Order: sequence, then structure tokens, then C-alpha cells
Amino acid sequence: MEKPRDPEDLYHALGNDVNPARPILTGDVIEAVEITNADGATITRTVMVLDHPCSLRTNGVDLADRLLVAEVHDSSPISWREGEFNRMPLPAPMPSAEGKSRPLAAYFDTSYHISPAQLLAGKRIACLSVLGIDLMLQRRVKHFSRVTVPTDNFDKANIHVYEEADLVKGWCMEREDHGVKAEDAFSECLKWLREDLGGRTRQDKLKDAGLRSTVRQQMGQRLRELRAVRRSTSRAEADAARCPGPQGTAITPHTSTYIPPAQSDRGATWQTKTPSSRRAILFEKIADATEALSKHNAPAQASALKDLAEAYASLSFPNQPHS
Amino acid sequence: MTSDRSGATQTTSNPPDGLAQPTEPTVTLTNHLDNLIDSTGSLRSMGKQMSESAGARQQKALFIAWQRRTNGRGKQAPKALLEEIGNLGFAWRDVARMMRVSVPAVQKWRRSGGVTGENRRRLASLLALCDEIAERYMIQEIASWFEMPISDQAPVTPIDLYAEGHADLVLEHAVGIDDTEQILTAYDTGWRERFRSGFEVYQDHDGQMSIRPKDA
Repeated sequence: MEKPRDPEDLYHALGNDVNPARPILTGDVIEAVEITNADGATITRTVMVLDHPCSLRTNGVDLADRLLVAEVHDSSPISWREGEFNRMPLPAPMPSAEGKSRPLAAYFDTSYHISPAQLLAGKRIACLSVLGIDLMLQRRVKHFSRVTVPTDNFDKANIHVYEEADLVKGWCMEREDHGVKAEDAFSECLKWLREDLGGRTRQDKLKDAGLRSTVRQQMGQRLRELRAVRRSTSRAEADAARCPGPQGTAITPHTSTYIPPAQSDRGATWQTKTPSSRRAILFEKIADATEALSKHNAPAQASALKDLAEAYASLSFPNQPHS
Repeated sequence: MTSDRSGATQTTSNPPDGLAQPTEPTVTLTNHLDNLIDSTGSLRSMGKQMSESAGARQQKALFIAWQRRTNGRGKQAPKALLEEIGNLGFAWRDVARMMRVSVPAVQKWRRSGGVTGENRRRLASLLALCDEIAERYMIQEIASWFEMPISDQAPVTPIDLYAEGHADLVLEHAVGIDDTEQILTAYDTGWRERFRSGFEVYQDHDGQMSIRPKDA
């Protein structure tokens, strides 16, 4: 039986660092989940998702109708290698765990079946890392069958699912920035992953260790394309909303060359704008200039410009968001 | 049979006429052999010492080249470094492991910056190592190379080596001269025991990856 070198290695994210965009995955810990007992009584518990990554979702998007979860509560100190295989230790820095003396643990022998609605009504407080999930699966298999399977085997068998969860999270985060709802972004990402590329999908390619980095590169490229479409749409909307000046082209947000507003807008257009719309245009111009500098191999200057702009904004508009 | 054996004994001790006789006394031949064994042994020892010395010098030179590239890369803004690392196709969880920070920390760097000087150097170091390996040893698809086990005998990848502070072994692996077993031993002397498994991963009839005993 194996153990982590450092308890921190067990966790992908904890507390407020848990990203809602990450799909529910094996090993996630969710608090305040209402569970209906066999006698009909309702209890509220912190639970860990036990279902195997491959059986969590029936169609890839929607969680299965019944999910198996283990109750999480405090435990006596646990020796990873020498027994107590009925539980998965969750030591500090897990919230509510107090170092080695009072860790939490997910108990495989205190489990419940709950609906996705019950699970999602709770608050996710921890996501296990790849190692954490592998260790949990190792202990669970040991508990139920007395067979010891090295974590490397679990890793090799499931890594494509963990990879997919990471890709979905990355996609959803980016698309939410573009104003796309999380569930729509999730479906969008899965559609892209399942696109038929001549008998093989990107999802299939994730099973091949040699092709995973290519899928990630392709996803980055696709998101850049979507970002460009989004920027273009935003600019068109901003153009449409803006009052035309005497020349009609005093502020040209489509150009990639930075033109300071004071020079570019000598007419009445700039002067007649509200402070917030001036700020929006200014930030848009800064974003353009930063991007242009980055493209022209001047990333240090791009960063300096952005830092300068943010510093200026924080001094000038202390109560406004600056980025 | 007895006479045959007797004849053979005679042949060994007294070669018949017509067979080549030793031109030197047996003692001299033994001396020559001793000298040959000694000199070849000495040559092998010298060769090993030279190989080790050259290996150490090459390691040092590679390290200096890597540090120089790191200084160059360090001029780039952290966000640009992160973008380049992402564009190479690395998984962010692997980047976090190699930087020895959490995944949410890397997410924060990407969204809102806040990279410390130490972490900026770590980012520059990783990218510089990728540059060094890709350019000097013509390794393509560098992120994929980092994810590929260095040997069939253990699931240890260059990412594992780098994450555990063995960038020197990553360079050794890229050079490709050393036996991978030597690299694995330098990484973990107990690697054979650590990675021994009686199980194998296979694709089951339902298309899902599964685990079974190796002899099943």
C-alpha cells in the first residue's frame, strides 16, 4: 500500500480554490449534502464521490442518476500502509482537519446513494489530485477485495479521464470569460472533444500518452480562435454603441497600433464621452497595444505597459475594477 | 578405450612430429598474457575515468548553457512565459508539479499575475530547458517527450524527474548516452521494487481501460 510523500500532494484544490468549472470527479469532497436515510430521515453530511471516473456520467455530460458517496468525518491518526483500509485519509491542509493528530477520512463502509441534485446542492470543498484519486481507488479496492493494485496501474487506466476533466475546466473558464454559461461551455467542450476526426475523436486520442499534448495544443488554438471571434464581436458592439465623432473614425479600436486618446481624438468625440466609456475605450486600446507588443516579441514591454495601466487605474479609479 | 586415453595423454605431453612447437617458453607466454590483461584493464579503467570525466564536464557545460538560456528567458514577462509553456502542450497540473506549487496557484498566475521572482525564474528555467533540449538534441513535440516514460521498465517520465529536482537527469536522458537504468537508479535506487507490478492495463471489451493480473 502506498502513501503520499507530502499530504499536500493529495489535493488538486481546497476550499475557495476549488474551481466550479471543474466537472464533478471521483474523490471530490462536498459538504452540506442532504441524504435520505433508509428510515426516511434526512441527515446532512460531508461526503466524497466514490464512483469510478468512467461510470460517473452516462452520456459524458449528465451525472448518473444514482451516485455512490462515502461519509467524511474525523478520524484517529491513520497509518497509510498498515491497515484501516476502510477509509481514505484526508489530512491537513484539508479544511477542518487538524494535522496528523486529527485528520478527516472518507469511510467506504459508510456510504450512501444520492441523486445528482442532492450532490450539487452541497458545496464542493476539495478536489483530489491525480495521486489522491489513485490512492483512494487503491484503498477502496483493497477494502472490498483485499487485492493490492499499485497506483501506477490506476493512473495508467484513468489518466485520460483526469485529462479530460482538466481540459473541460480550462475550456469552461475561458468561455465563461467570453460570457458563455458554464453548462453551455461544458457541452461545447465535449462536442469539440467528440468531433469525429476520421474514425477517431480527440477524446480517443487522450487515451494515447503520445497524443495528449497535441490535443491540448489544438484546444489552445481553438480557444484563441473563439477569443478572437469574441473580441471582434465586442468591438463591433462597442462601435455600434459609440456616438460617431465629426470624422467618425477618431477612435479606431480595430487598429493594432496604440494611439493615445488625447492625440487621436482632438475633436469633440472624446470630450463628450462619459468617464466610464472613456475608461472602457482606454482599456481596450491598452489591451490592443499590449497584444501588439507581445506579437512583436516585446513581451516585457507589453507587461510593463499593462502594469503601468493597472497602477494608473488603481490610483485614478480606486473603487472600480481595473482588469 | 584405455589405449585411446593413453594415446591422448601422450599427444598432450609430447606433440607428434609435424605439429608446431611453441616458439617461446610457456613462462614467457604467460607473462605476455599477464601484460595484455593488465594493459587492457588499465585502458578500460582509463576509458571509464575519461568517460566519467567527460560526462561530468558535459553535464557542467549543459548546466551552464541551460542557465544562460534561463537568464535570457527570464527577461520575458511571467504571463508570456506561461503562455509559451501552455502553447507547447503541457498540462497545467504537470506545470504546477514542476514549479512545485498548486494547480490553483498556476491558474491565478495565468489570470491575474502575481508571480514571485523565484517562481518567475522557475518558469524561465522550464522553458529554457525545453529550448535547450529541443534545439540541441532535435527533440520534437517537447511536451509529449516530457510525458513519455524514459524506459519500458518503470513509468518514470522527464516530468517526474524534473518535478523531483533532477533536471540534470532530464538533460542526461536527452543526451541519450547513458543507459536508462542508470538514470532510473540515480532517480531512485529502489525503482525496481517501487514499480514492480503484477498487473497490467488493457482495453476491455466495452472499450474502457481496465486492470488485470499480468498472467490472466
